[in-house]
Amino acid sequence: MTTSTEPRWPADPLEAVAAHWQQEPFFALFKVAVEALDAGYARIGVDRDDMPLRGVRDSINGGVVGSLGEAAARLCLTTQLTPEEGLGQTHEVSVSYLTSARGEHTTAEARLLRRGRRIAVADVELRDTTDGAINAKIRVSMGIERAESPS
Amino acid sequence: MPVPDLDDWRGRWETPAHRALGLRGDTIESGYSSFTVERPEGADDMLLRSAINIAADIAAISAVQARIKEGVQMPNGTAELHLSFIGDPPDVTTVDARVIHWTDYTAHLELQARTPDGELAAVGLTTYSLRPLPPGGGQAS
Repeated sequence: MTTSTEPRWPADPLEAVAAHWQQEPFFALFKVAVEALDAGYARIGVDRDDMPLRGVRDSINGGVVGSLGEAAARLCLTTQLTPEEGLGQTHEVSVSYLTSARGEHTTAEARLLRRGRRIAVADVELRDTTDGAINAKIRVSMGIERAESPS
Repeated sequence: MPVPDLDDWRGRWETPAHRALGLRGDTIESGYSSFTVERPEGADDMLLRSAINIAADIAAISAVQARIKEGVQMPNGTAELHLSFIGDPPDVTTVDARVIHWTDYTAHLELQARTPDGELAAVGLTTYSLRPLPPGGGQAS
């Protein structure tokens, strides 16, 4: 289990969860902020000026778009884990790019579609917060690790 | 767009952000490109998967741009990218993109990430949008 020290939602306040995740290397490199959490829901955001990798027409790089989707999905799944469970590996990230992500502020909003015993699937929308346009739809499937029961 | 000079092309990926991701350009040919991703110090699996994802995207863009004939088509952006990760991301991978189908409006590419021993670490497909140009050049409507 790789995530035993992760704070729990809703047991821990948003500030504690956000502070923990924002120290993760991906969040720190791309200056990703945790903006909202609820049961089966997470929203993260980035400012355009803080984005070090750019793509076509000065948009957020397409690989970063997929990774923001993955990060939001993983954060979203943590809201539904029991103390005996932890985040497993990401199995799949599937991105449909709809428009260039060129907003001043961009959010990735994840909702859990299905949470099984070992696998969960989340749906993520990446949006330009200025005009509300959806820049990308992302589907992420992730593993759930469970502590072995003592025999 | 002709195949770029290898050193020039590699130089494009020598930015602080690419270095922080452990990413460097290896090979560029018409319709093919590869990158090496090496786990940076202190990087967790999330950052490493992100580096592989970013490498896959820019490998695909590079492979397409190196195959486009100037005055015939122009690049229009990534349309779809689907990547499956097979197990934990290894510390070192070669991420490559290869054109497997090409039309006036789209290119399909196969993506692979392999360890130095040749084991598959991730596999995927991407669709890249192209824009055909009218004869004689200029922008298509």
